[in-house]
Amino acid sequence: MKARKIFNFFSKILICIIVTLSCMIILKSNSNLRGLIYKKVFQNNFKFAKVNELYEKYFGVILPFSKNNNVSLVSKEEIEYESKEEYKDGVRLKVSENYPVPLLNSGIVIFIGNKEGYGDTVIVQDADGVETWYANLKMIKVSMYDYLKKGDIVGEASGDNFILVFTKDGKIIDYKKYI
Amino acid sequence: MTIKNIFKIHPFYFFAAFVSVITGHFKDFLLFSLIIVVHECGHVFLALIFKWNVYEIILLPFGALTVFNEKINRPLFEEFLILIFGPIFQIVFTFAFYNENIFNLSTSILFFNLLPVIPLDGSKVVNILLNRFLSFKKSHLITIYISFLTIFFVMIKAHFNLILMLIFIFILFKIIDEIKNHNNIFKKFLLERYIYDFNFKKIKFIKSLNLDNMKRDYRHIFYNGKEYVTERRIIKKMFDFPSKT
Repeated sequence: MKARKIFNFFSKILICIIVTLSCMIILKSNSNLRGLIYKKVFQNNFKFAKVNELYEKYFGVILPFSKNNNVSLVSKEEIEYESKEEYKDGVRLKVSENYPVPLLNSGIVIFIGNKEGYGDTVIVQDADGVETWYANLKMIKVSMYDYLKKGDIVGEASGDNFILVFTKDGKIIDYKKYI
Repeated sequence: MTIKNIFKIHPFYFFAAFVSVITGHFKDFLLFSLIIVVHECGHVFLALIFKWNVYEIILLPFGALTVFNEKINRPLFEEFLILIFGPIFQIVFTFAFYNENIFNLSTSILFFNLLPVIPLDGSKVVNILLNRFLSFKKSHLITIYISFLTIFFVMIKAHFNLILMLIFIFILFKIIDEIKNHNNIFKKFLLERYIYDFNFKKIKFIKSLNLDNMKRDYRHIFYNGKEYVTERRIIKKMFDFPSKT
């Protein structure tokens, strides 16, 4: 009985090693496939918000009894800014000091951290697959994988400006559609 | 008996886990599961103190079931304490790690769990309360009726929801099981009194030979019009000469 268990365990490990090695060999020899897989696996985010929208449309909410409304005290629909200028891939909005940045589109938070040249950044993915970067923030009030609603406060603008970048499927899209 | 034998995960739980991962709700789902496990720990903790046999713990999407393999004639207060400690553990956990999100999830689990529907804790509370005043057989039947009515109303009121529907199906099967086993459970109740010696302090006096009037936590004396008969003699007769009764 025990010998059989040990045998099973080692055979599983062996299969894992074989699969990993064969994948590596195939990827090494075929550079087209490697490029494709890198693009699909490492550059695109899984579209949680889209799947969620579809699921909720046909099958109802996931956790039936929980009301997941983060009731924020301050909630705004529109961003009020003084001026805008292009910055790197996106747009830099000039606002008043410590301006609380509202969410433009409902979605799920998929990244919080520091992006080079942008400062502290929150990336929110919405149901259309558009990923919006809210950059140059401080006092970030959201956490990873929170579902947020339009108008929820993401954080405060650090200094007198913050940056918005819009991307879809890894490509930058024009901000003029949104702002 | 090992933990692996006791702890079981229902296929519906795997389904709910999969769905919550692809829709990005894994944080809430993990919290949900954690609260459920804490709740079950409460039941198991008290069960260990009273030395009840835990048969299995089944993990489901919106709660877990702790199934005991224990005598029906165990004292009511033990069962009540085991029952009440699940919610107590859960409430303590909720306030120890207070957070708006945890609070919402915890209250929703608690309210669902306290519905008087048969596999849930609420039905057991109802059953214990009924057993306090009515006979064993009657209270079991009334519990089944109440759970049928409740699940019916909840199903009408609830919006369509796939996971909730799965749970309703699970609950319906459990209730049907309970109805099918109604007679067997009563037989088990009698058989235990025949096999083991329970030293009940309280005595109930019944003016007929009807066994249906027997209550939990009571010793019975029957009166058949001529003489007084102990409960043990009647049950012995019933099991030893089944054709005559």
